[in-house]
Amino acid sequence: MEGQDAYNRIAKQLTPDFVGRFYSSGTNVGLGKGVIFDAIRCPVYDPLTETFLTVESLIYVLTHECDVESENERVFNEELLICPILRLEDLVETYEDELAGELLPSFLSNLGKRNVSRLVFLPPIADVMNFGGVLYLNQITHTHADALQREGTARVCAVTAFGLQHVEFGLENHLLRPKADRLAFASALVG
Amino acid sequence: MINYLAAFATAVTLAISPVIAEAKSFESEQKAVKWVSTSNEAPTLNIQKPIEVSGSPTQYFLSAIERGIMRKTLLKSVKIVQPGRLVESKTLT
Repeated sequence: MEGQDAYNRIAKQLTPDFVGRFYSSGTNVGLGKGVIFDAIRCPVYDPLTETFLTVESLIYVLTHECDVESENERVFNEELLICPILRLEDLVETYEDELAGELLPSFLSNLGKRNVSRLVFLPPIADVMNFGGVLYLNQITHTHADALQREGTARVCAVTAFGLQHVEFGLENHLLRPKADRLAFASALVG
Repeated sequence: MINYLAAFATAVTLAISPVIAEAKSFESEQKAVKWVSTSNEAPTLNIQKPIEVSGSPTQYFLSAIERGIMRKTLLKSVKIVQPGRLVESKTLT
């Protein structure tokens, strides 16, 4: 399946204004407010060598603005949480290599409906990810603030309030949903 | 006429009752999985759907193979600058 076909399957599940409302240029948007960068160096675990690779990736900055903006004189504001963005065409190609092709349309439809646990779909950005991308929330990693200033990096854009809500809903559902098992002292916390 | 109205009312009641019972059952099931915050603070996020403990009936969970696909896709999406290497902790000081 081509990237465009894959995107079309996802887009059928999106509201008509989804793509148009998702991004802004982000020119005046501070770091930590849903900004997307390209070619940012970060670690990725390699199971084959049992070590971390240094890679350059398209990323979405997750850390809140208060904790990373340089004008805030605070300790511990040099590292930031990021999530690599997987380009849709790369995901489709790998998926077809690993699994039977008939499973892919169902996967893509569910991705568009936000039914896939742990994945957040990001709509296309021209010349950066032409068919959209995916945040896999279990691949959240970190980098140093200086990595954003390195030569060769690019500030791509930022999400809008609408886009931010879409991403943060995925994060909240992934990280903050109640545990299935009742933990010790749980009853003491309930009003 | 009165008998006719009584029979009509009974028929309507019988027809509606199972629906109400089913609706109550559905409602209680929904409440069981809805996350209700006990905090007094105003919510800072607009939650678009109820957050559920074990996922909605439509939730699509990634299989082990699909999780492997996500890992391989990450390696395909990035540019590898330097392979990993083990460093003795003494050399970092």
